[in-house]
Parts: sequence; C-alpha cells; structure tokens
Amino acid sequence: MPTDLERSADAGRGGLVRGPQSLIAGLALMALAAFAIWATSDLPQGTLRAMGPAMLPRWLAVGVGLCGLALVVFAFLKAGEAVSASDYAAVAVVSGILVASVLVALVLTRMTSASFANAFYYAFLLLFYGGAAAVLLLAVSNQRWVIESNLRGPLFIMAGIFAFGLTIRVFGLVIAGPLAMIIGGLATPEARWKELVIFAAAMTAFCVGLFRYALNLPIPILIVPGIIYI
Amino acid sequence: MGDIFSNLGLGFAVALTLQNIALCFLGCMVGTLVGVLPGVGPIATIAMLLPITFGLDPVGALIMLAGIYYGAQYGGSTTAILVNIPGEAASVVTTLDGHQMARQGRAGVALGIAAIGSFFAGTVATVIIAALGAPLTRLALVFGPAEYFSLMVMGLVFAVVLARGSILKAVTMILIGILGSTVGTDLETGQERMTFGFPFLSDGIDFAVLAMGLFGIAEIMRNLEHTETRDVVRAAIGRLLPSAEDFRQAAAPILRGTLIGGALGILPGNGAVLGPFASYTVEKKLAKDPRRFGRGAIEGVAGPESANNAGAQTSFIPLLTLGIPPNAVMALMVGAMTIHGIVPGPQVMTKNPNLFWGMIASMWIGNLMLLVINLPLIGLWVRLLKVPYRLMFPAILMFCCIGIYSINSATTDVMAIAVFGLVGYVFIKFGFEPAPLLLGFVLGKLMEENLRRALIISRGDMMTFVERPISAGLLIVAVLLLAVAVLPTIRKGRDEVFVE
Repeated sequence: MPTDLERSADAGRGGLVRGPQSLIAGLALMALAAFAIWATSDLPQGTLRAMGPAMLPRWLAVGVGLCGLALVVFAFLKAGEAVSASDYAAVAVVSGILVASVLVALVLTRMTSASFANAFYYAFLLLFYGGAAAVLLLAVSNQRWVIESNLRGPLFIMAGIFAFGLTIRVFGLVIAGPLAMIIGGLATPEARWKELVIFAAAMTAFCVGLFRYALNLPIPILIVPGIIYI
Repeated sequence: MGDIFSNLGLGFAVALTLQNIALCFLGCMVGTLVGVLPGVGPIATIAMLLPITFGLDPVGALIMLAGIYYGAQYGGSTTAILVNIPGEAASVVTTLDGHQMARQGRAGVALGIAAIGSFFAGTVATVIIAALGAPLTRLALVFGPAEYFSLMVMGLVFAVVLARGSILKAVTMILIGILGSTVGTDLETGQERMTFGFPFLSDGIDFAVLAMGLFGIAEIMRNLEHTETRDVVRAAIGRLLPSAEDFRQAAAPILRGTLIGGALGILPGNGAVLGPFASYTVEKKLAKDPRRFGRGAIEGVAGPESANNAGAQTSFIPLLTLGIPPNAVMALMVGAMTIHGIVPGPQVMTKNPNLFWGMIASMWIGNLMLLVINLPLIGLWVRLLKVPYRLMFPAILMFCCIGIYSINSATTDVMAIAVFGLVGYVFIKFGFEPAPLLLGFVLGKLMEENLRRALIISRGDMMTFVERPISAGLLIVAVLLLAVAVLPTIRKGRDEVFVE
C-alpha cells in the first residue's frame, strides 16, 4: 500500500522534479559539504609543498559538494526513485532534537557556568528520551502517521544503545544489559513484555559469565555506588 | 618452491599447537554462531567478537580472528540457503539456487556442497597466498609514498566500479569516508580538525565504532521495518553428503569458482565481492540448460560459494604484503593487529615469520574445521534460525554494545554506534551503499599520510605521481577502469550482473 506521500511523489515525477530522492540526497550532501568547510575554516590550508591540516578536508568537502550538486541536477533531468516520509522521518526527528539541544546548550552556557559539551549532552538526552516516549505512546494508541513514519524502530534501537552507554559505568552490566535489551526490544510492535524481560535476564546472565568470567574482560558487573563494586 | 614448503612447515608447526588449534576451533564456532543470525554479516560479526581476542597473544588472536571470519562467512551461506536472507552482498547469489534447493528438500546437499567447495577453494587459496606472499613483499619494498598513494587511488576506483547502484553515489560515499577519516588530531601539526571541542573526537572516529554502526545497528533498524516473514525451510534438511552425480556436476564449477574468486580477491578495492557474481554468470553461460538456474541448480551454489571463500582468503594478500586493507573486513583485521602492536605491511613477514606463516597455515586448518564442525551442527543452526527476530535483535543489540564498550571502555563509543546506525540506515534508504564509505575511511588516513609525504619529497610538485613509472601505471589503470565503467554498454552489463 503506497502512502499518500508516496502517491503524491509518484505523481510529481512527471513534473519539474523527476527524482525526488536524488534531490533530497543532493541537498543534504551540499549542506554536509558546507558544514565541513565551515568546520575547517579556522585551520591553515598550507601549500602543496607543506600541506596544512585543512587542505585535504577542504578539497574533499568541495568534492562532496560537487557530487551533491550533480545529484540535484540529475533530479531535474532523469526520472528517479520516489521518497516516502518513512525514509527520512527518523533522521529528521533526531536532527531536530540535535539542533534544539545545541540551541538549549548555547542559551545555558550564556546564563550559567556550565560547559557547552555538558549542557548539550543533558539537553540532547532529555529531548531524545522525551521524543522516544512520545513516539511509543502515539504508536501504542494506533496513530496511523506514527506507524507509517517508521519512527519507532530507529528511535528505540538508539534509545536502547544510549541506555546501555549511560548505565554501564554507573550501575554495571547487570543493569545496563537488560535495560538495553528491553528498551531496544520495544522497537518492534511485536514486542511482548514478559517474554522480553525473561529473555533479557537470561542473556545478561550468559554475557556476565562469558565476558567477565570466561574472557576476563574489564567490564563492570554490578555497581551500587559506595557499597558494591564487582 | 622449496621455500614455500619450509615456510608452510613453519606455519603448521605454529598453528598445530594445542592452544592454537583450540583457538581456531573456538573462532570458527562463535563466528558461525553469530554469522548464522539473519542480518548479521561478517563485518558486524567480527566487530562484535573483536574484544574476545584481546587477552590472547598476537599469534593466537589473529588465528582466532581468521577463524571467526571464515565462520562468519560460512554462517552467512547457511542463512542464505536456509532462510533466503543473505548476510552480506557476496551471499546474495547463494540465495538464488541454494534456497530453491532447500525448498526441494535438498538443503543438506546444498550446505554440503557449499562446505566442500569452500574447503577446496580455501586449500587452493592457502597455497596461492603462500606462493605470492614472498614475491609481493619484495615488490612492496620498491614502493614509495607516491606509489602507495596511487595504489590506494586505484583501490578506491575499483571499489566504486564494484559497488552496486549509481557510480556517482559510490564516489560520494568514498569522499565522505575519506572526509570522515580526517576528523581528529592532524598527525603533522597536532591541530584538531573538526572535533568541535569534544575530547572523544580528538583521536578521530574509531573504525570499529563506525563499522558496527553502519553494518550492525543500521541493519537491525532496516530489518525492523518489515514485519517478519522469515522463510525458514520447513522441508527436511535431507542427507548432507552430495551423491556421486552431484559431485560430477559440481566439480568443474568449484574449480572455476575457485580460480575466478581467488584472482579477483587479490585486487585492491574489494574485488572479492565480485567473485560470486562472476562465477554465477560464468556457470549460467556455460550450462547446457541455463533455465535450471534459479530453480535449484547445484552449480549455482557450488561455483559462487567456492569463489566467495577463495576471494575471502586471497583478500588477505594486499593486507599482509602491502599493508593495504582491500575491504572492510581486512580493515578490521588492521585494527586487531594494531591493538596487538603489529603494523601490517611487508615487514610482518620478515620480522614475525611465526605470525605470518602461522596465520596462513591456520587458514587451511580453519577451513577443515568448518567442514568438520558445521555439517554435524546444522540441526543446531536450524533451531537457532527459528528464534523469532523480536527476541533475536535485542540480543544482537546487547552484544554490539558489550563488544564496542570493551574495545576502549568508552561510553562515548557506545553512544556513537547509535548515531552511525541511524546514519547508515538513512544511507541505505536513499540508495547509498555504506561499504565504499568504510573503505574510504580506512584508506583515508594512509592516503593523506602518503600524499603529504610524496609532496614533501617532490617539493610540492604534483607531477611526481605521473613521472614515477609504477605510480603512473597504477593511475592509468584507475582512469581506464573509471572510463570503462562509465561507458554505457559496460554499465548496462554491470547493472545486469548485480540485478542477477
């Protein structure tokens, strides 16, 4: 079943933009190139004889930009693939959260003495988990556009990984492992709570045995701050 | 000739110690175990299992890694035959006839002929590596920075030509990959490039993190989109040993596949991926009745599987002799070697003959083990394949997290695989293949280093790349390849190969 967006994209292929996919990709690549050129703008370029740190990245960025331009041009000349909302919904949401957190962090660093990196980190995580929870609620309440946008999969996979990263140092694998599996496991609408929890517990036990005791990797098992450190 | 045998003798003496046999066995086992999981290709498998080799001595670690690699390859073919899900590009071909055989109740024969073909290919490839290793290493000694740079340019052009889909998109991916490799501290001036003040970026982006994100996590995100329709073969596996008639049909394809795959695998720029496709096309052309292909022809399994394994093995040659990884898997091997303090390149053979020849001998032993352990264990793999994806992917997710965390004990690495996973997912959605990006990333640092060095030696004269004969030759090959690939007729043929 093509979604409404797909159908409108199909219809649009007879019009001016004949390859919507390459148009979006091309514009994104040009934005990436501009970003890289901006990011290296404070570094010296040097000469061919003694290349500076910025020379190669800048050339490469120009190359990426040209490829993007070519894709944009092709989008008008050649009929290409259509784009559906589900292709870019996840990355659009995450980029939106990213930009919002940069703004929040900039404001916070002005107002308080917090460092930019820290402020950004907390703002991003808060907004991200808020967004993921909202998506889950909307998906569970059967909002059609949320289900069609395919947001749930990518967002919850990321949420699971972030959860692991946040807790492994603080609480250890016994907490981080099941957390990653359960949050990540919610990425599919087929998830079943009971099954997931039992399976997560069993896999974590297996991993503790394998990685810590059989392979001797320095991975923390259980930390209760000030009391237990295994 | 005598040299080869004494060298291989040394190799087998190293590889046949009890400890190393056990490690090779363990590597093959866990490699297959993870490789069998649908949607987990060799790259993700190796990245996930890399940490388990950290505690070992370098020789043991590399032997185990090589075992994991073959195991993952073989596991991928098993999934391709039984479930019709290719773990990686190279086993796409196997799904065509292998899965059809399985549906006709001949899964056992398909798996058996794949294992036997792979073993034969592995044996031949081991001899090829042993024979070519020494002369190519001598060749490497006449290579200066200009030659290295041109060789890598040629490798990347190969990667572009061999990538599926649009050439423009493949070029873009390579450029982005090289651009990504420039993030971090500049080696010569010590200035930070594009790190935005984040300390975890000052060492650059870790290769294993990038690979795990682009190939492990992105794949999970993509698989989640489709509601599960896993077509695990319900028919009986049937007997494993192919009949005399099967052998008669498969013998020539195995031989041709081995030669095609072995030759393509040596090329820089992931020639190995072309082997199975080329072999399948050749077999189809040579067959008396090409219509059988796609409907369970045993030649369509035997040839490509042999080509796949031969190529997988000969792709070690550019890495071990020139120090240039030809594909993403070999790039992970570079990472593993560096962790153990070995810099891949021509000096490995002279400085560490134990390691070099031990690893080569263990390749053969690994292939033998796969034959011995896999066939009896097929029942186990089938049961593993019946685990529903809703349980499988959280486990894969946790393994990825633990694997990546234990490499550097850095939580930022864990966070980064999520981000790269999303990036890889979007790339796939927009028709960009992530494999060329990874290769560009791997070669990027080496290229920049050699480019700068070559230009310092030539006092800033770009002509140095054209004036030195070897370098000029390599560049001409690169230009010709690119020109040929853009020609309309060839492009059509290329598209056809990949469509099949």
